Amino acid sequence: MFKSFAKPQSSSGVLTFIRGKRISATNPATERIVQQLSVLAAGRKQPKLLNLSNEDIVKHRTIMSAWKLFTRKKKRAEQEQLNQQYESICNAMNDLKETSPALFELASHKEKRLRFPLEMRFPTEYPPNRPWVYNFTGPVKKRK
Amino acid sequence: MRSVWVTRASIARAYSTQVQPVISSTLLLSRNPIITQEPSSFEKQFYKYQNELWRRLMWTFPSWFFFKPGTVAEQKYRKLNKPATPDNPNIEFPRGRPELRHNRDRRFKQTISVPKSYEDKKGETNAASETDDLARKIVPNSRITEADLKKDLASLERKLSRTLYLIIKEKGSNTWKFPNFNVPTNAEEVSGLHVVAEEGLYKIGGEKINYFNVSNTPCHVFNNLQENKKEYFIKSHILSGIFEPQESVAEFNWLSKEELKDVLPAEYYQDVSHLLNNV
Amino acid sequence: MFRQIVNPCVQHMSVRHYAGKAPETTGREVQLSSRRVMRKIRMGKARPAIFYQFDTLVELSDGSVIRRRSQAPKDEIRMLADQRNSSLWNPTRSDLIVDQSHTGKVSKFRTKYGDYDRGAGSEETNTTKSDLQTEEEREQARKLAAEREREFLEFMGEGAEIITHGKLYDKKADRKK
Repeated sequence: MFKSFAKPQSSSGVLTFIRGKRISATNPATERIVQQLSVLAAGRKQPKLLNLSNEDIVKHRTIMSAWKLFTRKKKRAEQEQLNQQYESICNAMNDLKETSPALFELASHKEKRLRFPLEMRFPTEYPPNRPWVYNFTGPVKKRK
Repeated sequence: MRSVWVTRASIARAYSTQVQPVISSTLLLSRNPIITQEPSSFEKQFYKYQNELWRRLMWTFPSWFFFKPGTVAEQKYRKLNKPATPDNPNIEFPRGRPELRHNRDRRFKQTISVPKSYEDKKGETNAASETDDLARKIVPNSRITEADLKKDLASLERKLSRTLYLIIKEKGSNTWKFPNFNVPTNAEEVSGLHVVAEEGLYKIGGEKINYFNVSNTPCHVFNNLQENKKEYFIKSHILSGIFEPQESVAEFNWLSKEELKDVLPAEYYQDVSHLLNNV
Repeated sequence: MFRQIVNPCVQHMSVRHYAGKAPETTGREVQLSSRRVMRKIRMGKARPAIFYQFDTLVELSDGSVIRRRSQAPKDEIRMLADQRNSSLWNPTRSDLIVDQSHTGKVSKFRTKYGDYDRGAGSEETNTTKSDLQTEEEREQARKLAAEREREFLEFMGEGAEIITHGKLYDKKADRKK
């Protein structure tokens, strides 16, 4: 694959030039190493550097800053919602403590070893053949 | 978090003997998205741009590693991927001379087509072999389901990319609301808000529901002044099973946040909107 | 990645040549230094190592499809057994149909060699359990074993004898020394 047309060397008198035939001047072991190195060589596999014109650089920067703005807005909205949710949890618990201390005690009781259920699935790009599993036959575990 | 409640709740309030508000727990039962979110047009364009940059900066595909020289696979690969135009000194290239390294023009992105793992069967429509054949082509299911086309609001298979929430309409009432259950006052043993919500869910929807209760802690309180009620919200997710409406329920729907805005009373929605997922 | 040939007589070749032309050597072996001389990377000239990746569709066992990038030259991957149809991950489902015939290496091995294993195993257990019931049968078995041993020695040729003491030759232990 990486053989090159090599000129027959005069020092090794055995070699004779035949038109169109590949002649390797090196011995097979050396050739193997050269091949390996050439395959390993990063420089030969890398593409050319991206040389953007000034106009393209400006375009690129505009796109990236627009994206940054977009994500920042999204993150901020998410954080805002989370803060609101936390506030409302605190609110609810304070309210519950006043109205019913017994219920508050139960509500603030931290359940040990509470884990996400195994049946929870991550979203996929395209839905399964049957999007929803309907056959659930009664509760298996009864949690307190 | 607990310390916050303790410090805040130090302000004690005397109970008024006149009208005790009824404590109730409201269930926020959600169906999580099954498929990924639909990206906005801006996101799509940005991802396309980034993908193109990524492809341009990718290194040459090491075909010698994946397709060993002298094998049938390599022959197939070579048939699909024709070698690029070599740099011939006798030919003029008006758009720059090609720079070939490992059979790839370094100036451009590399596009490689790989041998297909399935056999291309055209005209053959054998239903049995299509489903059983392991080497068949992957044909993804549609992201829009039948329930979407029929506009069946009570189906769990609608709007797969959104979080859906259960709302019900009780018999004799004309307003939509999240399922709400009063905490029994005369019971010997006090049961927590989440337990009330769970038992209530079974009462209105049958026992064939597999759900996951997120926490014992209520996530919100809504003061219903009209009915003198305090509604504590309990979040939980439905995982599988079916909601079969029992006698007390006239109608039920699974709706996303935007649809809830149109259906729920404005004041009520305003109060709980931050609990609902935008996705 | 490639074995270094240690030969101090021949002078070492700098690996600086690796990127370009084949080194001009005639007839003798090239020696590689273990010290890799890296090229200096100037400012703004660094290129990240982004290996070529394909857009691959992965079909999970329940028919849902994920799009992902992969270095392997495959544009489609079909999962036969995964989280979606494993009973371990679906404790509340009873309708799971998993075709065990083509899932996993072990089952594949079993389908191929299962019969052989079963046949051999059953024969052995039969002889050890059922035959050695009475004193007579035991005597018979002993005779049979002696006969077998004699036959074996005959087969090995003259002067063969059974060694009952000493250590067996251990290839691994020998290699360590």
